[in-house]
Amino acid sequence: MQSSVNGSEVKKEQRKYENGHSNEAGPSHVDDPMTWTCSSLLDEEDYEDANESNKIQENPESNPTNGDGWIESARKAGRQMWNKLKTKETQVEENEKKKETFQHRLWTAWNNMKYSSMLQSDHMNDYEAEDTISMLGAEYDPEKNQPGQTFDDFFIDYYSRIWLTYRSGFDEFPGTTIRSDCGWGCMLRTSQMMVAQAILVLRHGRNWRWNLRGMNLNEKMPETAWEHYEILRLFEDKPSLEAPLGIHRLLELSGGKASAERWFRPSEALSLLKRAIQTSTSSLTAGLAMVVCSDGTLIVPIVERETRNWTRPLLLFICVRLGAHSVNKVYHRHLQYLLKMPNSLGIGGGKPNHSTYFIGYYDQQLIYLDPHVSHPYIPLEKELEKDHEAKPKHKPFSSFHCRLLSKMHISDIDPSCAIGFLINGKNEFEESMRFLNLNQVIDVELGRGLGSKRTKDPIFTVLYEEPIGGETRHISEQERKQAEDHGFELL
Amino acid sequence: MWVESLSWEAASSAVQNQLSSALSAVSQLHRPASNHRMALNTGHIPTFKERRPFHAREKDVQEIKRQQPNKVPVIIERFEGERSLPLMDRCKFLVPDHITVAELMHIVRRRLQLHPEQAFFLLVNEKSVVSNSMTMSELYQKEQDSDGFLYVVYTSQPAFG
Repeated sequence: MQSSVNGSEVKKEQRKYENGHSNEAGPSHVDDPMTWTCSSLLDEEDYEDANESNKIQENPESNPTNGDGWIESARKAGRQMWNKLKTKETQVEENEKKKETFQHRLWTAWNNMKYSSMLQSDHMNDYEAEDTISMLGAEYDPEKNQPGQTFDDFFIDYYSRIWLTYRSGFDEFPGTTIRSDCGWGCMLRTSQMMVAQAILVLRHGRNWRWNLRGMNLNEKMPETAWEHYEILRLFEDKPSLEAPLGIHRLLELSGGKASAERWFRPSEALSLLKRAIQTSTSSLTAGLAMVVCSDGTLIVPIVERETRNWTRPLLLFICVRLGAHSVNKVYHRHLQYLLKMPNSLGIGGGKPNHSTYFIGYYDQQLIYLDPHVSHPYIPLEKELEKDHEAKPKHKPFSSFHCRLLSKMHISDIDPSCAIGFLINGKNEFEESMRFLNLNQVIDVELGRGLGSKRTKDPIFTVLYEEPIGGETRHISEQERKQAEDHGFELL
Repeated sequence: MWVESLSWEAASSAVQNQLSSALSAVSQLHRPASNHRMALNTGHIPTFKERRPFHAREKDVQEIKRQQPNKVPVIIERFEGERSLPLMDRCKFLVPDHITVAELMHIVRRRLQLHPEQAFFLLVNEKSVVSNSMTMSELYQKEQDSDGFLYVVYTSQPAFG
């Protein structure tokens, strides 16, 4: 019962979309999900036949005119004959292919319903918190109602973050029929969001806001929209060099079509983005250094190498594991400290199986951006074109900014996450690490003979010296035998 | 014609599937299910603690400590929810107390033959072990179990969809 309601909502939205963009030829790959589910009731054979006859009728050449009617019918008969004469194998192959596309379209339609933005719950009313809200280093105190710290200011800041979600209907990945990342691409989207946030801050600063209220949408497109477009274009879902950090490029880097529909780990997804940045030719990503630490240790000499001795801005990601089954309580405070850092890029984590991008918190609730919402793919250039008659209230890039607030209790999150920082220069790095160390969040080890500053439950460790491989130890035969007798292996 | 042959094939394969599943169900009924076999079927591998009673574990530790006082008895097991990392052939280790946590991590990594970029973590009492220069004896003092062993699980990061 419920699903049928959801279905009709989706249909409504889909219609809205179709009406709104009916003049676009390119993007309208999205099929009405209801049509597809209905057609599944038809026998597949009937369905194909129906399609075939439609095609013939649509073809303007085949409209029988007065005298040439018999030619057309002969042609039609010939075509049918030819179809029958086609070898079995090619037909079987074709059939398989059709089946695959069909199944895939059904799957996409299902995901469109499942992850419809209509179903996303809005927690706006739950935010009547007395506590301060921290988001990526900025603080808001709705209680005090001071200018610049009100709930509205927080909301505009939240809305300004780039939100990348599942999309469907983009060009298929080379060698496959897959035209959507619904149901599998969320870790890639979360990683893209973290990098997008870094590029946004580098380009426009942390105080940049995407505030549509101040914009007169009837005038020509404001300057900020163009700047914004430049960044969003990096992440567009198309197989082109213009989108060096898009999902097509990431899959290409991870081994092509075999990787499509695969789930990714945080460290894998971030490593893909690192390689994508290294091979990108865009001016926005030029001169960026990115370091991904995969086991909770940050080795400073590696960072120095990657940033060419701190001459490049650093995107730093540290993968951590904060417990076996769930996040250990001792780390709750640490996560809040990390989100309070002014150079934080947030935390890429999620709840089990669902990756989300944590950007802030209040009290014990983490505020996040959720990629599990499906949007139809619309080429970005179309967003810039103004067509006020067809869509008078069209706001550009509205699917790249989230207006629904989401939150999650800190004890519900998955223990695997990636902590992000954007660091400019050596001084900033050392200050941040000292701050985190003093607040008992991380360990700092200065190197041999220089000692280390240990904390009780560090979330990660900063090593100022590269670790050297284990020395070979002398193990006596007697010791080995004693250990073996008790079932131990001597290391 | 080919449609018919296809559907016949499909029908026959469905019948075969049903037959084979019925057969396997029957064979499972008749097989004397030992504990170990059951464990494999459900995907759960009993941990060292489950396999060995408390007093036996306590005795293990006391005896080996008497003979080799400068070593730490450690149990290293794969986290039960871990699917991507391989299992180790054994779990009961004796580690010199002066080596560091980083060295232990390096040894386990090498043993599992992991790619350097593969995410890999050691957890003790649900906490990540990241203090590199901490020695095994320090870690042992802090986190040892009541039976005298130090329990370490290794895991990577799960994938998200």
